[in-house]
Amino acid sequence: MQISNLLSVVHFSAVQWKKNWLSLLTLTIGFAVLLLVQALNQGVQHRYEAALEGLQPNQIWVSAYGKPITEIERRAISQQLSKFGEVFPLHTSFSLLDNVRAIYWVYGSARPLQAITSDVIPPQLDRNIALSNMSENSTSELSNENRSYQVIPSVTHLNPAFLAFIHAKEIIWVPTDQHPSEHRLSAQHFMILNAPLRTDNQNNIDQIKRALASLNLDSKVWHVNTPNELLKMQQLNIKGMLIFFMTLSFVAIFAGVINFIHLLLLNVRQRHTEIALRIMLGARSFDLMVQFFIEAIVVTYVCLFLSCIVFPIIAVIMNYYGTIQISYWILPSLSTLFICYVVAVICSIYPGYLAGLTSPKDLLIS
Amino acid sequence: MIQVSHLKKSYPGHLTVFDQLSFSVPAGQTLALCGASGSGKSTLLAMLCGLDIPSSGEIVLNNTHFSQLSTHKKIQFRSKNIGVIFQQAILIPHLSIIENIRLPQLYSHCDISDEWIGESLKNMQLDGIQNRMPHELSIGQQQRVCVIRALSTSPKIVLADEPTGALDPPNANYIFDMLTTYAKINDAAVMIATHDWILAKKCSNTLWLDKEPADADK
Repeated sequence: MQISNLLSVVHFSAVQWKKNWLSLLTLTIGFAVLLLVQALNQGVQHRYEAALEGLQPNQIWVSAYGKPITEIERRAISQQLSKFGEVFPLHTSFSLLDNVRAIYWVYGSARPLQAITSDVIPPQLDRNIALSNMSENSTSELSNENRSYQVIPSVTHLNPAFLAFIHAKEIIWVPTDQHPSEHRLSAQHFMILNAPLRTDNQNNIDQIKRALASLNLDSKVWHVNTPNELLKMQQLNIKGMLIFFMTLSFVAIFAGVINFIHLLLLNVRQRHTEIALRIMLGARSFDLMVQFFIEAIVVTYVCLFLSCIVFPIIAVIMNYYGTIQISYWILPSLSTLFICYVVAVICSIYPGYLAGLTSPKDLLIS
Repeated sequence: MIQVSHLKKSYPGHLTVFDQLSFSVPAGQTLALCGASGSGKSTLLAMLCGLDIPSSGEIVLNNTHFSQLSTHKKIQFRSKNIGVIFQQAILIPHLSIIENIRLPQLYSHCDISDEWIGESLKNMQLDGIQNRMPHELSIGQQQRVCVIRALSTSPKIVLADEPTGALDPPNANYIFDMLTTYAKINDAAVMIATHDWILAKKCSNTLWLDKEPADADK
């Protein structure tokens, strides 16, 4: 009996919603954007985890943003940092040129630091060979004639350097004695300091900072980041976007809720006879509120289901234009399910209360 | 079964619908409630259902001082002891016939067996329509379904507000016979408000809320 009544409610809700598809649409959009926020969060989380995966416990990243460092500066930095451990410089650049998406530098594997300072021009390597030799989590050896070069692809496949490499339209192997600025490129430089340091030790970090500051290099603000700080930085980078989408989602859901309440209030008027009959048969206000709640919850979860179906379209667009890769399929998190529940409660509470005030006396008087 | 003593209903503005109204309907009997429009038939039935409050007087239903019960208790009492039939056939359009008949079960928690429903539908010449929707039935059939629904909880009191008002004579006769038979078999008190004197004569007693017309006996 209860199941059959519930099915009738579902059927009735579907019939009712045909008449007011706008409410369905706005709620679906709202939930879809909410799922996007959830996916972005997950995407960032994966990226953090990937970044953490690549960092050894005793590693820190030393990075400088802005004007590319010169060769002389590079030597000075390496010299300073070598006091703390072995230094592996990793350079990633994103091209401003139309036909070039990425530039990758290859350094000699035996002594990576020496490769920078040497005047050896890395050979033009076949990209496919390079890719086939690359694995996600390890560096690969690329041999050319008598020399061995090490490609430092990435800490994981989500590393920007690796992504740039595999997505590049064209790979240009830049001679190391040429400054990236000569290629009119914007550069982002990372130096991985593989030192026996405790990354959570602020004294060590301060020590490194002081060493770098003593170089008195122009236009450089040095960042010494522990893995956790890197995560926080990424979180901050995406915070604005998350707030924007969260706001958008709540605006859409709010509009949907207003529409939905309006629809349910209309329902109370249209279904006056039915409600009066139910009261006459013994329904209490609570029973009617529960009935409206069930109807509302069916509709909100149908909207959530629809938003899950349309989500891949949003994901395709976001992955094309955005910097964070998100999953195409996503299951609503507990918090999203809870928001749906709250929406259903908010939507049904007032119409249900109004329905409870219906007087069945009209049935007799009519 | 139904005992009404010195019942008075008046509205602000000194409009008195009835005053000092007393009557009783014993178990197994039917009472036809007659009167012109506006004489207070529906108001009296509303008070017997607990939907309206009398200005004074007392209503005792099934040995319970109904007029003294709280609203919540009245709802409970009504759902278990009173079956109500309206002038119009009121069925919930998005529920099937059997779901409509089972609707009181949802609130009164009485058990309505499939056998009873099948038998009642058969007696009402409605067999085979269980899974149809209300709009697929004629008005007469819908009203008969409403009668089955009102009797589904085996109430000891049945109140019918002009149940045959919208029906043709054969259907009207059928429903009257059904109600009088129900009263006798189930030892229930049935009150039927009607304009139809001929049908009213089928009841055990008649109560005129206004002056009895001279030709009522004819």
